[in-house]
Amino acid sequence: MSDRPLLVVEDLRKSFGDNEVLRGVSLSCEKAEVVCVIGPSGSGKSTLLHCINHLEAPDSGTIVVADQLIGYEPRRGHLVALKDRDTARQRRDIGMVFQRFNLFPHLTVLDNVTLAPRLARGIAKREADEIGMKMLSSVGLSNRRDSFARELSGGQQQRVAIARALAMSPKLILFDEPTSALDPELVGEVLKVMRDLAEEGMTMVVVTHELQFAREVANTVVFMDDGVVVERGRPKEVLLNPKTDRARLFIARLVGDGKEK
Amino acid sequence: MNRGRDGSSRDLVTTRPGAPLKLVARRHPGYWVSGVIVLVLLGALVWGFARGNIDWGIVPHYIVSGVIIKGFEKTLLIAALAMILGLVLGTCFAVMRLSNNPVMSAVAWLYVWAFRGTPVLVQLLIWFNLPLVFPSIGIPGLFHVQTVQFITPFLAALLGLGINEGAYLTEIIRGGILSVDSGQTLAAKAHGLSSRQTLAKIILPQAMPAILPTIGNEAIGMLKMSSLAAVIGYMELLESAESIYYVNARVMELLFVASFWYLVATSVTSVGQYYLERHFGRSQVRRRSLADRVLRALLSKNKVRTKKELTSE
Repeated sequence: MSDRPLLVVEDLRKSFGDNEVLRGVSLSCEKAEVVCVIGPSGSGKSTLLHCINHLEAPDSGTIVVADQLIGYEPRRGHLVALKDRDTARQRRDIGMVFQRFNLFPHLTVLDNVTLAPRLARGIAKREADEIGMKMLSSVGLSNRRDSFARELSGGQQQRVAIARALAMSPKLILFDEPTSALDPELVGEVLKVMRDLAEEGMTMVVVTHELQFAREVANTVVFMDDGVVVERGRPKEVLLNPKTDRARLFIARLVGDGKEK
Repeated sequence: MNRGRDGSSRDLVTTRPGAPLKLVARRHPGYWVSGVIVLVLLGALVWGFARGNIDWGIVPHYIVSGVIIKGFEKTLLIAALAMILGLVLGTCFAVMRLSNNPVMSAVAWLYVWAFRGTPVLVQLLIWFNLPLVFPSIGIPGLFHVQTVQFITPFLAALLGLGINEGAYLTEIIRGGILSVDSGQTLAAKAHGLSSRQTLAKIILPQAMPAILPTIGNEAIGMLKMSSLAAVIGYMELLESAESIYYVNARVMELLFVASFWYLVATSVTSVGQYYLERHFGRSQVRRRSLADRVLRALLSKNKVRTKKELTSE
């Protein structure tokens, strides 16, 4: 692999109708780096993640993951959209964890984790089960292999979702507000799993409102507002000494002393 | 006992200090009166038919007669095949209807519009009379047949019933697919599944619990609707019964014979529907229809086994 960052997003733009959600976002993430993206809702954070694994097609701009241009191929001076099959192949290397977990309710926990390795990577069931069990124990849920999602708490479901992403041995995992749909007492167990992952050297882009997690785990914090990156830097710089008013206001409001302002 | 209530109810209780009051269900004389009235009416109906001009003695004889049994087999055959054809068409057109390709979507819409908008009896007659439009059909240079020989009553019935059913099932399956949370598609795609895998492994299995009760109803409807094939001379159950009473004039007796077998077929289908739903509903908590709950009650012996299966699975 070249010495380029694992993830490079350049001048990404995306509109839904008249609403321009991303107005030229650039971002990079080194291997084994944790980038936390913070910002008010509607600032385009989720759309950014959806563009990175091409669940949404960007209007312009490029995304490169592990030296692969995502979703397009250069042809005759244009970037032509890839075939569905090729996009699917690219997504196998990019894990994703959703705000609302999106576990497959008709499958057991273990089948949730092994489905993609079996279907998308063609791994035999026995081997996939082995991988799946390993991933489930890494999130502390190997005893729930035969449960269905509805029998688990939100925190457990999200941990299964993380195991499901890990089972594809991705180069990069995208977290889309992974703790926002959780009851407060369940947030900790999910953050702990993510912390462990970061320590093991997983490359992660995390959209989150958990500032403490961002401060302790992130290598880089990116503050987005209104479809642009307003600030980026070390967690201490961005979270403790924001340069812009917008970031200062947002962070103050999030830690709860916004009234003093 | 009766603590916590205040005002008049407390007064009521304290009128008999110390004596605990027994709770008694309220009597509903209306229940009994209406029940008796309905039973009397039903009895009168049965009595009327029992004393009427019907030779009940020959009914069992015809129920097991060869012609009737053969007709019943043909009813089952055409209903099953037409249902299968309908399911294949319904799935294809449902996916087409949801396609991003406007041509696909429009053609699927047209199919539903045309075949759901005309009576199935008319469609059966059109298929059967197709030879009037195309005296012969074939692929130039490959084969060539006289349409009259090609479009048999069986084929006309199959096409008429199956294609009509497909139009209904298109809408049912489309509704089922749309009922699955869009986050499921996102999750499947994000993990590298292709569109086809997403549809087959994620979307359709989850749509099943939503569409199975309706498909079961459609299957029951199909068993009965197949009797329309009698008008184009397909020897199914009704046509077989008619063929007998044209000769012996035992019209009502033979219609009851046919009804008996229709009831057997629809009842068995209902039970099959129950098991299918249970299979696909394993992992989902679903609202149960009235028929479903009645069946569950009837089949409650199996309930214990079900729980065991669930836990062992």
